[in-house]
Amino acid sequence: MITAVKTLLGYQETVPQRTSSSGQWQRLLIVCMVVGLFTFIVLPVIELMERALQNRSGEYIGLENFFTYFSSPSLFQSAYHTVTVAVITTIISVGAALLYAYAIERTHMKGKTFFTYMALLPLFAPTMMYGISLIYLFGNNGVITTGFFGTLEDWFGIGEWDFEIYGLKGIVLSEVIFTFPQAFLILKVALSTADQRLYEAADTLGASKLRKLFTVTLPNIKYGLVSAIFVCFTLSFTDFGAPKVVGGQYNVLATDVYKQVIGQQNFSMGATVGIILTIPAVIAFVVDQIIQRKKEGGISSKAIPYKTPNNKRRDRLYTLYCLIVSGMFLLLFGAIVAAAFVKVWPYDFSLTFRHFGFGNVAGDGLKPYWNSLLVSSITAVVGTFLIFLGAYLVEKSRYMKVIRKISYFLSILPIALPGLVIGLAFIFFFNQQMFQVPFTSIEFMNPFNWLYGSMTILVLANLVHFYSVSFLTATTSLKQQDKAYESVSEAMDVPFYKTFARVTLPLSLPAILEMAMYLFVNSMTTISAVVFLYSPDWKLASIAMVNMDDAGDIAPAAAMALLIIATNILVRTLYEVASRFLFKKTYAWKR
Amino acid sequence: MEHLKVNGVYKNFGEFTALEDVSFSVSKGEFVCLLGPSGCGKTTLLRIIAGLEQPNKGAVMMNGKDITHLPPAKRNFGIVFQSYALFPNLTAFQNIAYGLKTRKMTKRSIREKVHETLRQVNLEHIADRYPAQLSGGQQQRVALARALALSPDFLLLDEPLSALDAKVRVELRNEMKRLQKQLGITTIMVTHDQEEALSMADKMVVMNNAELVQSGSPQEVYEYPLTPFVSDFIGTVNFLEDASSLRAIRPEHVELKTELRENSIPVSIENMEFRGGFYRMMLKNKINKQARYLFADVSAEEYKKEQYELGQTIYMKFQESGMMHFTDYPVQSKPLVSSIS
Ligand SMILES: Nc1ncnc2c1ncn2[C@@H]1O[C@H](COP(=O)(O)OP(=O)(O)O)[C@@H](O)[C@H]1O
Ligand SMILES: [Mg+2]
Repeated sequence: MITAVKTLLGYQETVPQRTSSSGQWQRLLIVCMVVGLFTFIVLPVIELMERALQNRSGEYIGLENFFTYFSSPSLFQSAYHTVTVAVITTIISVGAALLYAYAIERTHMKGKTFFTYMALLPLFAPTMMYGISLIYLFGNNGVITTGFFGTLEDWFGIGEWDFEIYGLKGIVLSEVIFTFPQAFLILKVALSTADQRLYEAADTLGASKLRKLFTVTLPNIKYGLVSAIFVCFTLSFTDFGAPKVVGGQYNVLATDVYKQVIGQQNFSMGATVGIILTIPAVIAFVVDQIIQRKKEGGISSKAIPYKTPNNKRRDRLYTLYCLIVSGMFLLLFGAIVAAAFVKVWPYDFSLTFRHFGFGNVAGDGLKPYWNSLLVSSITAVVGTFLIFLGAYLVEKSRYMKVIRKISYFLSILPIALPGLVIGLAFIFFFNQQMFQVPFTSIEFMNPFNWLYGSMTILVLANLVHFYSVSFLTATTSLKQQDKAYESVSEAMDVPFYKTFARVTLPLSLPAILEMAMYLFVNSMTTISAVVFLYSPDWKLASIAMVNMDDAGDIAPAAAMALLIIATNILVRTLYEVASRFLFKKTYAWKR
Repeated sequence: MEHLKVNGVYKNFGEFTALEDVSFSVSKGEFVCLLGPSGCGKTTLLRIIAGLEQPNKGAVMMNGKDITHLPPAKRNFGIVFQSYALFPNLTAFQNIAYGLKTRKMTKRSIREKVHETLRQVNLEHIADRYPAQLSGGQQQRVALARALALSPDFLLLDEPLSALDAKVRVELRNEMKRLQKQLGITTIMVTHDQEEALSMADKMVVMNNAELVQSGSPQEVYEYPLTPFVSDFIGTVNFLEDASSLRAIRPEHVELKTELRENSIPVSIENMEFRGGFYRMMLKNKINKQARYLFADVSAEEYKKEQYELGQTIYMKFQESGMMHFTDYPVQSKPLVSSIS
């Protein structure tokens, strides 16, 4: 059995080599890494799967939960709803982002930097925020619904609209805004590498514009397009924040998980729905792996960069389009600012800071915000270090090849796990008093039980949730460094940690900054992974938003959203400044 | 006694065989060139000698002791990679001092050693530059200096000159050879360039398809190649084949005459290349038109005297003394030069 696995993973017997102490340290770290990944990713997921096969009292019932789920019309309906939301969101979001990315990459329009930042704005806010904005704009007392509070009626005689924002429309709008920046970033990269020669060849053959679109442009970005489609689909399929706020009666899978777990305390059904929630992401994961393999060697090194032809009319059209899109984003953020500062919407429009006191809201005050700041900072610092070290060991060590392969797989696995599923799996794993060794009656104390309800579990959940993307950022940067650095150091008898500190880290600093920024910003805005895990002592800002919204205190929720966004924009700005500084400082290395 | 010995080394990567039963030895102070076409396993062999890769079978011996189980750091060699692997964020000085720092040396003796090594490679003036600010040749010499700074027992060089342009390459060839002799350091250099190997090596080790095919002095390997592959890979060769045997002859052992004589073949001149002291003629067999081109060298004097022209029919004759015979090799299906008579 073990030999079979070894053969499968490409293990081969070699003449043994005495390991230097530097090598022993690497082996130890590699073992710690794989044990850590296994404990905090694989074990909780196994725990979740087991729970999906049990009834409420913990007896094994096979796939019964799944049958129950699909035979219950109301539950089945939310599956249908979720697919509807995901499909519509994907179409709109990818389409809109494609045009926007095209405007940035393939026109001569002015203000590209501004438009790029505008497109990234939604990354800084929790998804619930878009829901709240939409309510302020299109809800029963919304600015637009009431025709600017009757102004339009007074002036033009146009009456009130009813947008019915609660439900499908509200969810889809929120998800489009949420997924837009992600699709935009992917498609921007895809569009940035084009081969001028192909366009010239098409011109020589007298191809029409439409023909060129279908024969050159689209095939060229097909991998990016597939990627963007999958990302938008899975994100909107699994998102929890927006449907929670603007969903109304329109149930989706994510809100079902929440209701089953928090509302009905039916953990088994929660686990079942959680597994269903994971399906698209798992499919996306598999397809992505296949694509990655195909993509290698696809780009010709002889490609000549695309030169955008001059076309004033095209530039004007795209400028208009980008203005409209950024205008809408600004409108949403404007609505949140207004909501946060206006005294009593829509009756008293005088301005106030009192919503930022959060005094009457469950008495938590600003504590959730400070908690979030602390948890995000720790996640960013600890996460960047651990994830970078992990990527380094996987990429650069020459020891324990098979275990490093397994670690690589475990490191990119979390990308397929929705936040809610991670949260749920963590409850099952950490809340358990005793562990049972499978197929035996041996039981032992859960050594991690004490973490339940602590701040550490929130950090851990964030780490798992955002592990893969950071890991890939680190891996990409490490791959660009010569593998011989490690060999040279070893030959010179320099321990690996010296070269790690003196060469690898400095060369990877841009990637490290990016990882820290990514981890921080996402930990500030996430709800899904932590909503099941926080304790009253460790309530986070995003969760406080959910609670305030539940209690009808929408203005303080908006104020909290504003705090989160402001913090994230500040961190992003710091990141940009640090990156520039670093670039200047290291200019001599690159000449 | 042999300084370094590679004994029956095997290496697989999965299904793929990278090295099969490779053995050779190196004497102290010798400059050995490991020569072979790209992908034949040269780098892998070098990494195994260095201890950066472990063989599936076989041993590496040093001064009669088995060192296969020793980690790289305990083997005391200096290595220069094809990419040089200079640390881009460290200056030339810092790169060279890098390995000295862990050797419990005082700051002053480190500085002295670095400057001494920089002097040896004629690069004292660029000590404070980053690798990106150096030319390819300078980078190569810094990498060499970094390897030499630790006073290793032997030096491993993986295609150290292949990334440079032709002129710099020839210059550095001489400089490296001079330095090697001056320091008396045992050196194994990997290359796929036969000219480089012939001009630098005390001893050549020729590899093909994961196997060692021949080792010996450059003269030995050039004049008495053991296989058709070696004769073809090192220098230029004409293959002569008939029903039962395969023979080969180098262009310098071919005589050209303008009139027909006994045992000569009529050929037409396809091309004439000036090579400095001589001309290399590319010739086409007039009897068997499918045969490979034949090559013959003509001294500049003779060339002037005869006034050869393109397309002219001349007659070639092989000097029996320069003929190489390959007995064990099966006659190839497509004749290279069909029956001579
Ligand atoms: N780590 C490795 N894994 C798999 N195959 C390898 C590895 N290293 C080398 N090879 C293969 O072994 C063969 C020999 O490689 P190498 O020793 O680098 O050749 P050379 O240096 O003679 O060009 C090549 O076909 C290469 O693809
Ligand atoms: Mg090589």
